[in-house]
Amino acid sequence: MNALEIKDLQKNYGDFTLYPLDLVLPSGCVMGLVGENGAGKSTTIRLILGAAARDGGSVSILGTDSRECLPLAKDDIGVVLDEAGIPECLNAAQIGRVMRQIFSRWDDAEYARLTEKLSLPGKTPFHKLSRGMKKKLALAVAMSHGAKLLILDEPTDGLDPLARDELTELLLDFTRDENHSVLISSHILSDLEKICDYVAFLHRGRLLLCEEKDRIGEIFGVVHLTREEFAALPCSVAVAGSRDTGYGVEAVVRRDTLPRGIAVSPVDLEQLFIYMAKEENVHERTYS
Amino acid sequence: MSGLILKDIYRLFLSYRLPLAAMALLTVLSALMPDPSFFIIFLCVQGAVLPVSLFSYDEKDRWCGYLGALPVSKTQYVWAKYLVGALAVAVCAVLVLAAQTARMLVLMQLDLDALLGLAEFFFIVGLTLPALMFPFMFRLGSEKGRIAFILIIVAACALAAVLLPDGTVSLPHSAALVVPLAAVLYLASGILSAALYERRET
Repeated sequence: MNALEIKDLQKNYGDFTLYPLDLVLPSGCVMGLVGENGAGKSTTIRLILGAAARDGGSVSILGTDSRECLPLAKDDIGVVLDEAGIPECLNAAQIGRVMRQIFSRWDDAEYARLTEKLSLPGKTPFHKLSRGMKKKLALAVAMSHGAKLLILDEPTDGLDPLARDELTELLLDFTRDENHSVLISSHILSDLEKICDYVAFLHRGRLLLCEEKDRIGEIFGVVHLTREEFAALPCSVAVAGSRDTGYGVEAVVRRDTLPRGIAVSPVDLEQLFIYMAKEENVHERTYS
Repeated sequence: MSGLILKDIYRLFLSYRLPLAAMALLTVLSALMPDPSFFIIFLCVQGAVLPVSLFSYDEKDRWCGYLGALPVSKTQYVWAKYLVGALAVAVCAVLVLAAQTARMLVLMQLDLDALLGLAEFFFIVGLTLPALMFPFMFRLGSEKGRIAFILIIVAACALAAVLLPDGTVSLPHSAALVVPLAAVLYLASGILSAALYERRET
């Protein structure tokens, strides 16, 4: 079963359009949703959760169409939003009591374990916590009601490296259960590289790529050529993006389309995303 | 829905200590003053509009957006606010009635008709005011809804000046007939607010 299936999901806000989006997150996997600010990551998450009305397409959560299963299916989903949304005046203990009444499978013991593990103070009001503490508390709430799917919107944004590492550890723990899946949006690609099985690139509302992380290195590579060599490449070579370095051209290409004899070096996620996004911008300027 | 109500109760006692203390003081004063009408009207209106303030806090905290992450529908959220509103008015009514009963007992002027009239006043005003305000609030949000809130309060004050020219809270006996209408209006308002809020993106 797929934890999440998105088909032709669309939304138009006037000044922003999410173009038809297809994503599949298999059960037991972690998918990273990558994109710059305003790329459509939060919009996608809001559409999945039904917090915004979609203009078209379908969303299936844990095997059931979201229009049929929401809001009850959210018992199976743990969510951390970019802006936590937890009442500012409540402390961790009070939040636990409120959530106990909201989630049917709320687990007090698990919540206590997580708040202790994350060193969250029980009596400090939410508004007095640091940004990192707020994110950790939101994650503790999301992971204390037996969720099978975690949807996390920028959970590591604004956190120091230590706090990011703690969150990563928690997510790795969570995904040890093969029924647990995670959709995590971020623009900090180094975090995603540690935990993701799949990566989806969103840029200006368009899906540029959705692929298994381990396959990305097999599919794409970086070449360093002179301008003349680059210009002489056959049309069949799929160039995901390129830039003039002053000494020549550095390009991200599909390995299987390159002629033999050209040296190819590995590409990392950040490099690939930046090249693909820039290439898309050039296309947009060219065709607009 | 009990979680939503618990959250609102926490909010009231954590963020509303001063207004609640002021309301308690006014309740005591209403028992000491020869003409308690102003205090009674103020307490009734204050109780009726408490959910408006709670909704503003929810928007400020982005709780309305976080609802999308919880197994709670927008309709449940709306009805939780209506329930909290009715509870707040009921608590104010009970306290004011208790204070007035104590006052009458001390003065040995127990007037059951006056107490019944007071209860009717709380019921009618306490349900009608929010019934008129809440649909605007749920449709437009707390900021724009505040304009409707002010207009409705001004209209209510103007109406009170016409209906209660001597400034005392004494409803005619026929007012009892309006009580079920106020309850129906409150329920109809809840249905309308739920429909409006379901369509609103939070």
